[in-house]
Amino acid sequence: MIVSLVSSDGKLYQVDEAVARRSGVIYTVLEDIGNQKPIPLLNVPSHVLKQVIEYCEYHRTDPLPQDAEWSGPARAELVRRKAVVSDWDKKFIDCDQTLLFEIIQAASYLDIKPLLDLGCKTVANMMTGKSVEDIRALFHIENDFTPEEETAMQVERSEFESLYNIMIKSMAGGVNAPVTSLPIPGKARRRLRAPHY
Amino acid sequence: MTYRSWFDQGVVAFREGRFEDALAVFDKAIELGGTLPVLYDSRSAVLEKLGRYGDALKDAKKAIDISPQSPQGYTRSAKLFAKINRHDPALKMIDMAIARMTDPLRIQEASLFRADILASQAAERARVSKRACHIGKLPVEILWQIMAHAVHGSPSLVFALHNVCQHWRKAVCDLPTLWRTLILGQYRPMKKLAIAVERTSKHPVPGVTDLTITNTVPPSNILQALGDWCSSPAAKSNTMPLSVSIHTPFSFKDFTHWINDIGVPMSLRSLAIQTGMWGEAPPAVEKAFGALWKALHQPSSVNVPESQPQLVECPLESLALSRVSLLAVHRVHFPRLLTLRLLNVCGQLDSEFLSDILSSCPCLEHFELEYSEPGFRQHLDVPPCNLPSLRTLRLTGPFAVNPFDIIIAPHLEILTLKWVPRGVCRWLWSAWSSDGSSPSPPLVELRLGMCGFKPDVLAQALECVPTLRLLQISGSGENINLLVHALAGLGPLVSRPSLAPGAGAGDNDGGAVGERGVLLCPRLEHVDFSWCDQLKGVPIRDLVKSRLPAEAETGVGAGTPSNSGTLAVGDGSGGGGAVSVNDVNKPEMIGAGRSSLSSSSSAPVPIRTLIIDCCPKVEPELLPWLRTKLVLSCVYESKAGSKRRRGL
Repeated sequence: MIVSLVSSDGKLYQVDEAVARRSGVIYTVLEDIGNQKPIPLLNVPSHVLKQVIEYCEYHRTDPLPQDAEWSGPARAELVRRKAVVSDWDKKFIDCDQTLLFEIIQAASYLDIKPLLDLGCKTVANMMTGKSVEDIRALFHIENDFTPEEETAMQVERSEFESLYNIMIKSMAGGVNAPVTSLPIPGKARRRLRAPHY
Repeated sequence: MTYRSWFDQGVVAFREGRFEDALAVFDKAIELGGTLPVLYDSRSAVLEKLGRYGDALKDAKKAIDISPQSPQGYTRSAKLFAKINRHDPALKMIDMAIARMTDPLRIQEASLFRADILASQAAERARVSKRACHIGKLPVEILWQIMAHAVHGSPSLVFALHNVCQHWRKAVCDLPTLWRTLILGQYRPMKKLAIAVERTSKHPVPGVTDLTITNTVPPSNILQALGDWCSSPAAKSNTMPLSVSIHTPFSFKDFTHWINDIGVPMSLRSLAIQTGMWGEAPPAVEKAFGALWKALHQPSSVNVPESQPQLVECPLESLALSRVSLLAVHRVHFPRLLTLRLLNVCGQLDSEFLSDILSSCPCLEHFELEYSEPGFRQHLDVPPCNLPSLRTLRLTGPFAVNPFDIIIAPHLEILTLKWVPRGVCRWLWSAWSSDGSSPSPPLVELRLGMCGFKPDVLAQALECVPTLRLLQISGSGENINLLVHALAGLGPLVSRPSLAPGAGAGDNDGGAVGERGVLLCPRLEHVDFSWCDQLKGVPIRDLVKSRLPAEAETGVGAGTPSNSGTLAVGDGSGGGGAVSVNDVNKPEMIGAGRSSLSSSSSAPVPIRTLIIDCCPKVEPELLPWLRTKLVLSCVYESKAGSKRRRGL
C-alpha cells in the first residue's frame, strides 16, 4: 500500500504504508479515515519531509510504540539501543541548525518519538559542557537579563562551571556502571599506579 | 523649450554622470507637462543612482500608473526592490514585466535578472537562518525535552541553562525535574543549594530530591547543607523518593545529630555514606542506626516474616555504608532494597551474621562487600541464602570460606572478586559446575583482581559459564599464559571433545583435530589482562586468532609467516621453546579447528577489546597486528620501560 503525503509547499510524496505509519499522526489518520486521498501535512515543508521520510525508511522495521511488543523485552532493547545513538542516526542528524530544528519540529508535529528523541539528544549534546556564553553563541540567543541580574549571575557563574569538572571526577565510578564495557585508558596516561584493590 | 529638449539634456547629463544636474533637468521636463512614462522612468533611474530608492520607487509607480501595459516601469521597480533586498516584490515585478515584453532579447535579459534575484534571495535566507535563533521558536515542551536530555548527562548544567535568557530561566524553573539532582562541591555549596531550593519552591512538584555531597565540600558545611535540604519543601512533601549521597568524611557525631535533631525525611529511599565514621563503638553505631531505621519505618503493607517479628522494616532501596560495623544493618528488614554496598567493614566477618543480613533483603540486585581484616567466622549450619534477583556481586577481602556457600544467586550477571586468596576458582567451580542442584548463572562479566588461581580449575569453571562476554584478570602471575592458551583452545588445559560433555557435534573429526578442543566462552568480546607481568604475546595472539571469523582467517594465514617469524625470534631470547613448536604447526591446526567449529551451530564472537596494560613481556612487534583486529590498550608502567620495549 502506498500513502500519499503532501508537504506544506504542495509537493506530493508517495511512501510505503509501513514507512508512513511510523508517524503517530499518520497512523491515527490511516486508522480513522483510511488511505483514500493524499494526507496534507500543513506544518512540514518539502525539504524537511524528505529527510523525515528518509529516517522512517531506514527505521521501518523497528517496533512501533503502538505495537503490542512495545512493552517487555522489545522495549528494554529499544531503551538500551536508544542510549547509544547509532552511526547512521548520527550521520543523518548531522546537519545545520536550521534543518535540525525543522526536523525536530516536524518529528514533534508528526509524532515520531524516536526521531524527536534523536533530535533533542543531539541538541542536548551540543550544550553539554558549555558555559552560558557558549550556549548563547551556539544558538544565537539574546541575553535579555537586566544589568543587575547579570552582575548577580557573574558572582555565581565561576563556581558552577568549575564544579562541573569536579562532578565528572566524582561520578566516574558508580555502582551501576554500564554492563560489559571496558574503559580504554587515554593515550596521555603514561605513568600508571598499581590498582587499588 | 519643450520637455523633449529638457529630456535630451537630462539624458546627456545622466550619461556623463552628472546626476544632480540630470535630476534638475528631468524635474523641469516633468513640470513642463510631460506625462510620458519614459520621463518618470528616467527620473527614477537618476534617483536610484543618487540612492533615493523611496523616491525612485514612487516615480516607477507613476510610470506604471501612466502606462500599465509597458514593461519599463515594472522592470525599474523590480531593480529597485532587488536593491533594497525585498526579493518577493522584486520577483513579482519582474514577472509582470516579462509578461508584457515582446522582444525575445529583452525577455532573455529579464529572465537572467530574475535568476539573479532568486540567487540573492536564497543567499539572504541562508544568511538570516544562520544567525537566527531557531531554538527560540521551539515550543516549550520540546525545549524541556532537550533540557532534560542535557541535564540528565550533567546535572550541574541546569545552572548554566537558567542563566541563558529570561525565557530559558522561566522554562527551567517551571520544570522541577531538571533540578532533581544536585551535586555540591567546594564552591559555595550552601549558596548553590539555596538557589536550587528557591527556584523550585513555588512549584507544587518538589525540586531537589537527589543530593550528593562530594568530598570537596568543607566538612563544616555538611550538616548545614543536610539541614537546609531536609527542611526544603522537596524533602518535606514526602511525595518523591529522596536520595542522599555523602562522599566526604562525615563524623559520627554529625550523623547522630542529623538523625536525632534535624530529622531524616520520611521518604528517603537511598542513602550512601561512602567514607567516614571510623572506630565508633559497635553499640553506639547500632543505637544510632536503630534510630535511623525507626525514623524511616513505615507500618506498611509488606508483612514482616512471622519468624522475625522484632525486625524493624525499612523502605530504603539503596544503601551504601563504609567503615561501619555490620551491627548497623543487623535486625532490620529491607523488603525493597536493591543495592547494598558494605565497604571497609569493621570487625570480624561472621557467616551467620552475613546470612542474616542478606536474608532480610529479598530483592537485592547489587551486593558489594569489602573488608580487610583476616578471618571469617563460619558457622557450618547456616542455611545458604537464596537471592533470585541478584545481578551484581562484588567481593573484596581475604575470604577464608567460600562465600558461595552463603549466597546462592541463580541469575548473577556480573561477578567481581578482588584480593581473594587461593581457592577462588575452586569455589567458582563448585558453585557453577552442574551437579544438578543449581544451574550455572548467566554470567556476563567476570573480573578477578589480584586473586590467586589455578588455571586448570579456572578453565573448568569458565566452561560452566558459556555466556561470558567480559573477562578481566589482573595482577596474576605465570598461570595466566596457560589460561589464555586454554581460552584460545590450545594447550594442556583444554578439555578434549571426547571428555567434554555435550560435544557430540565434534566427535566426527575430534580425533583428527587432536590439539584443539572446545572453545571456552565463545561469546567473549572484551578481555583485560592488565598487570599480568608474566603474560606473553603468543597466547594473546592465539586467543585473538582463534576467534576471528572464518573469512578473515585466510588473510591472517597469509600474514602469519612474517609475523610468527619475528615472534619466534622474540621467544627464543625469552627461552620459550615449547611455544615456538606450537607456532610451527599452527596454521593447519587453526584450519582444522575451524572446520570443527563451523560444523557446530555458532561461530565464536571475535574479541573486540583487549587491554594489556603493564604486561611487559608482551612483544611490541605483536601490537600493530593486534591494532588491526581490535581496540587495543597497551600502556607501559613507565616512560623508560615503554621506550625500551618499543626499541626506541
